[in-house]
Amino acid sequence: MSHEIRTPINAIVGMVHLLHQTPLSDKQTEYLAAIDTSAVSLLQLINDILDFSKIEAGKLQLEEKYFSIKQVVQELINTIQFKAIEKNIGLIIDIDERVPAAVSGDQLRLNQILLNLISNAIKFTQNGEIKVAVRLIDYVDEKARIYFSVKDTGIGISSEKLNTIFESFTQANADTTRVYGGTGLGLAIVKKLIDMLQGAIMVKSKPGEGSEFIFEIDFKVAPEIVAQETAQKAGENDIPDVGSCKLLLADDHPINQLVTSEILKLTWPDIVVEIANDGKEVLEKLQTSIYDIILMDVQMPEMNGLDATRAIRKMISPASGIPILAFTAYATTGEAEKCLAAGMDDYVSKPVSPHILTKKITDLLKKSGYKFPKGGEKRAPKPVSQQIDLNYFNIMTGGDRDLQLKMMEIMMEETPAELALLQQHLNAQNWDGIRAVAHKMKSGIQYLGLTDVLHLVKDIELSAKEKTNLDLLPEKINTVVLSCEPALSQLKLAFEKIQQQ
Amino acid sequence: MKDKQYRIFLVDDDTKHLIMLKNHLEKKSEYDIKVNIFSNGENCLDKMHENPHIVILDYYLDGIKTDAANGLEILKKIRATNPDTYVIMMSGQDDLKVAIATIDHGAYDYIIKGESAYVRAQMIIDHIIENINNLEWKRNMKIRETALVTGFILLGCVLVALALYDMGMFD
Repeated sequence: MSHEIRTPINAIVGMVHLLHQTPLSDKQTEYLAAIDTSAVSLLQLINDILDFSKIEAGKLQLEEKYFSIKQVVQELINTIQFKAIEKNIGLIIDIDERVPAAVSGDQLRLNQILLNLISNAIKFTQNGEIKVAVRLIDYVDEKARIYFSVKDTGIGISSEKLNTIFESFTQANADTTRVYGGTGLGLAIVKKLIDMLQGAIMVKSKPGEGSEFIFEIDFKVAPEIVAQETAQKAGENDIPDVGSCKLLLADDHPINQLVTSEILKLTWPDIVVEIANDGKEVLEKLQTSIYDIILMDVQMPEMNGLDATRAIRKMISPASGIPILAFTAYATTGEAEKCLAAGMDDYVSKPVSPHILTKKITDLLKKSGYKFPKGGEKRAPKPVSQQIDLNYFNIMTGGDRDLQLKMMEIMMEETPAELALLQQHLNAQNWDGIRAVAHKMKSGIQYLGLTDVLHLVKDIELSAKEKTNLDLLPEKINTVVLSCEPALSQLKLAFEKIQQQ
Repeated sequence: MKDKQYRIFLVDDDTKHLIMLKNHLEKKSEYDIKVNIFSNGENCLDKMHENPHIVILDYYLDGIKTDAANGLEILKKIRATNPDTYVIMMSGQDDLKVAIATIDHGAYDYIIKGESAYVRAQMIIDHIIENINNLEWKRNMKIRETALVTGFILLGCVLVALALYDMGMFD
């Protein structure tokens, strides 16, 4: 069925492209563009509907394969980043370090869900930023519950529409389709997929302020060996941090300058990018400053990239050996060879893919013996963090000030009592009592964002319940008590701050 | 939709959880919901004569009162005294098996605690309320149906009587 519909539409799209190559009047070009847009959106609609009906009919099979969540998110962002850069909005990823390196599940579906949500976020955001967060929430019995959030500063959804946005063919506003396009099936598909993966999704939104889509899915955590392999595979594509590398960007086009430096800064926040508007400026800048690498556009006024490169290579100074990466719009028509012949080290073709650009820069820097900042490798086991993080708490209380104050009051009052009770039960060797108190403490510790402590408390609960490793309990309980005390004083400060507002 | 109030009893030994879930259910639902909270099952049983529509029960309830009965025991008692009340069980991820087992004892559904618990609770409750409303509607329809049938029979009798009268049977 799917094939029968897709083939003719693909043919239409293809024919339109061919027709574009033939001599046409202005009017004809205009009409053709309209046909093209309609055909492409029809194709998108059909893909969506087929997807949707497959899910509805229960024909969509879930895959069980090992993969790295971090890699899926990273690659997705790489492919979609250009859209955000085009609209001049930020796209930020924030992945919890504790997210397991490899999990088992359906990578394709996760990708589809995230792609849908992130493209939506970009589509409906005019300025500001989109934040994609991935967190580990729960890790019990080889099962990790992962929390994903896609938050934008877009147009938002009114509260009465929030209930229906996951229904098919619904967009927040009748005008939405006209202004923003789309089929209204994206979120319905997302919802169905998440249901299939036995997760849950919720949405928070305020019109004019933005929306946040949050979903949680349980994944089986892969055994250690698989995790190492997957991490290694992911590592091959991993871009190392270049630290405060100094890069000279030669491009005469202001928008290209902006886009390229944005791409670079998103990957490497510490990178220093200086701009030269043509080949002559490059030579001038090299006289006065030292750079680690040059990105050079081939087409520039005054002095083009090829001439500039030849001049640099002839210079009598250490700068003559600087790595030069060419930007070219015509990589296929022999220009690439010209670049290499002129003395450039490598080239990337326009439009630039962020992933390829950063990868090539990394490769050239490695070749030139650039000193990468250390770190990011193996870190020493972290001490138990006592720093509270009220992010989760704020999400859960939805910014409701009264609720926040009430909850904080309860936590400040109950936690010390619970800690005392924990020690009391320990002294009396009342394991069941320890189990009950530890169980009850978990929610509060989670609200405070004390993830290390949370793990400890879960451990204590399990060990008291199954009466295993009881000899380690005193030490563990002691750590929890010691970590909670500073956390509670931070909570008090946060409480007072909200009170004053 | 806010024409009828639905009452929910929420039982958990974790005060934070009680407050958060109560807040969520009362504020986020499209229905008019009133939530009463209890920190143990015994207190909830004392109030069961008020006949709440729904009870949400945590499995472990001994965090404060050490000899408190667990959720399963409370569930059994509620099922005995209030068979029409929907009971939803709640548990942590690690007690999942316990929670699923409660379905066999008459729990309507179960919720795993965590971030999605609030959304899930709301979905289950909306579903239950729809059920309640449907049942009520069906009951009303039944009454109307009976009234209609009785009406037709009476009308039939009158028509027959008229026909007989016409034929001069009563002369």
